[in-house]
Amino acid sequence: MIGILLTAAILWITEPIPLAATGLLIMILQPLMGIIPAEEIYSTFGNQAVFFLIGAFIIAAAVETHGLHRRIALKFLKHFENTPRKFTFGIMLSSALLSFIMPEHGVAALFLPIVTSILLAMKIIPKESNFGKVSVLSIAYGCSIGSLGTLIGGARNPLTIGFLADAGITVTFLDWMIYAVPVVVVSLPIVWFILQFVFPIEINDVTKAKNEIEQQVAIEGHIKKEEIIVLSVLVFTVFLWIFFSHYTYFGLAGIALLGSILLFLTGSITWKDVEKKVPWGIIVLYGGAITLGLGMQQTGAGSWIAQNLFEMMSGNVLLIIFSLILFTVLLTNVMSNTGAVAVLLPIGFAIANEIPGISPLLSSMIIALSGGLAFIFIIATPGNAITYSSGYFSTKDLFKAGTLANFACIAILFIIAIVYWKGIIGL
Amino acid sequence: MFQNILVPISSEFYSKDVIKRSILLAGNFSGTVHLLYIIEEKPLHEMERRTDTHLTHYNRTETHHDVLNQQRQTADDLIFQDAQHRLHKKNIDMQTTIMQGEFSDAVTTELNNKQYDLVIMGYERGCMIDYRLINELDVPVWIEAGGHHESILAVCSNLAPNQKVPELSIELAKKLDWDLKMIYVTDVEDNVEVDEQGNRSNPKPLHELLFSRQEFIEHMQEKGIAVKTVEGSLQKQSIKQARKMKAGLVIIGREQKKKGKLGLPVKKVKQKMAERCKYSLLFIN
Repeated sequence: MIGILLTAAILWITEPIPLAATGLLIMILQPLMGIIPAEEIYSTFGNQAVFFLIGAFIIAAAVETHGLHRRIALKFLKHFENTPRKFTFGIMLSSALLSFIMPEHGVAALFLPIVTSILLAMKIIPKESNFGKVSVLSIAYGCSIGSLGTLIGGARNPLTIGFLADAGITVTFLDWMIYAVPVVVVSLPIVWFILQFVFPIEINDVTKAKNEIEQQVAIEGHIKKEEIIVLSVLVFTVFLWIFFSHYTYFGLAGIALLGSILLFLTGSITWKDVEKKVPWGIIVLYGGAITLGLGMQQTGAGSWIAQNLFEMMSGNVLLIIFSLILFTVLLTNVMSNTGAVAVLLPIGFAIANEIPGISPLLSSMIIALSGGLAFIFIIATPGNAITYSSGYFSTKDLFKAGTLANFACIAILFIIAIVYWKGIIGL
Repeated sequence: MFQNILVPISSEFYSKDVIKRSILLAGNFSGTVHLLYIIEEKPLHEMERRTDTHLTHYNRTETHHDVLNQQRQTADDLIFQDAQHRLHKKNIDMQTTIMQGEFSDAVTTELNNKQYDLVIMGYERGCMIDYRLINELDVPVWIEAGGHHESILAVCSNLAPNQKVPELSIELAKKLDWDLKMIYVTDVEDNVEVDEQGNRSNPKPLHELLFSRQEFIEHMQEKGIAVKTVEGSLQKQSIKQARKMKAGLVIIGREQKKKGKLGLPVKKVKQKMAERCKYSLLFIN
């Protein structure tokens, strides 16, 4: 099983085949090598979190189809057009908040043309201007940080709760937000401050940005009927997720699928739209990732790694928590976020079983949230690659700002894990 | 000398210094400037590869189009407009082209389509540009690093034919009214000599290399140029001397260096020099 884990890690790092294909490979390797029976492996794909992802993606597809995300983004940005610094904070905050209700990569793809059109109107030359760098990096980092906040932002979040559910630990939508939103609230301004420090903004006037936003808002026109319907369904679904997802006969997936069905019933989305906008690859990747966890647990491979780690660190809880954060951040910077979380979750889970003072929920939250902090390389997360393609920052810029941002977030997560999760909430 | 100047600008890196330098040269040589904006495909491919599982084909295509549009607008509305404004003031003709592809390929294609006397470009390490054209092109390549020093350092060595560099350096220094200094580097790491056709000889003992050097010095003295002699690695000595004399431009010829420290093979010597040198370089290929 450790061989399969290493194979998966290598394939997710080097990507000779698509990430989703590696997910499929993990699924077939386990029964083929006689580790887990085929029936058991494929049945894990029927996990509630898979259907939660499908439902959430369909709702996000409806939001995208009617351009509601664009309208929301512009509305947000309008409140931050006073000064260049505020404007960049506005980009970061808007990207983060939108990543609460949509997959982060979709948000990055949405924000990029909005922000670059504003930068073009301001005659900001790519790579030459610090304002340009901060603006575009704010999208990448805003999306990454925002994706930690809810279960929708990144596929690694449902993967974590799916994994926990298999172990009989239920985490509701609201629970996740209670654990994760403080990390977002603290990290966002600090990372923004780091960007300001690394790339001091050279301009003072954002009048042109203001005009461009107003022009874009004018092009959007009045809110349309379909947008109102989609917005209502979205609000309704989020409301149900927050307050009713803990009911056994309802659940996260049920609510997500109910929201999707409502969109079909109201004609707000068609299957063609779903085909266009739902990234099925993530679902397949997810499937592979969850079976990897199952295999690691059932064979005891996770425990074996954890025991060795336990011996090496002499059971020092603080050191283990710090190492978990550090190692996850390092790994997520060189491979797919979901892949990194999938590889480390079973190990974290086993650590929790071996070491008193670390619960499975605590180790899982540490890994899941650290897994989203991929700031340093273009390959680290699709959001970085999308924003890099605009040409506004260099790989050196990303490395410089990303390294500092990662150090800061490692410290933030460590403090939150010790003080808030372990100390106050008692995870 | 430099009537038709090609200025390739990559979507990955843009430097106003390159435009300023092309204006100076075009003004001095009554030349025209052709701006070639290259939308690099590598970052787009990278973006598509990294998002293939996370975004649908439709979303990826949309993002691809958005980025292409933004790059075209950047070229038209920012870079070309800014250059047009500067060139118009000096009455210099300007042509523009936008190409999509890979930097070295795009420049080579353009050079195959039209005759150019000089390529001026910038150099940036932290990006996805492949600068192999520095080693491949036949036309002179000027790598602009900014700076305001008005002096030329002409580098001759046992690893080059030393034909074009002295000739061009003298002419350029006269035309631009810059100081000219010349060095002869005896590269002790790669102890061969290079003939006019660019062919390398068999390894030679140091006294033979020094004899050729003396011949060259005397030849230059006849033309009234003093030559400073240095021994060591071609790259290191060129950069060191450029730093010492605060050169505005370092001119390097058809150097055929193949061996480095301990006789180990070296590749892309010119590219490495461009990476390390903080001064503008002119490679006479």
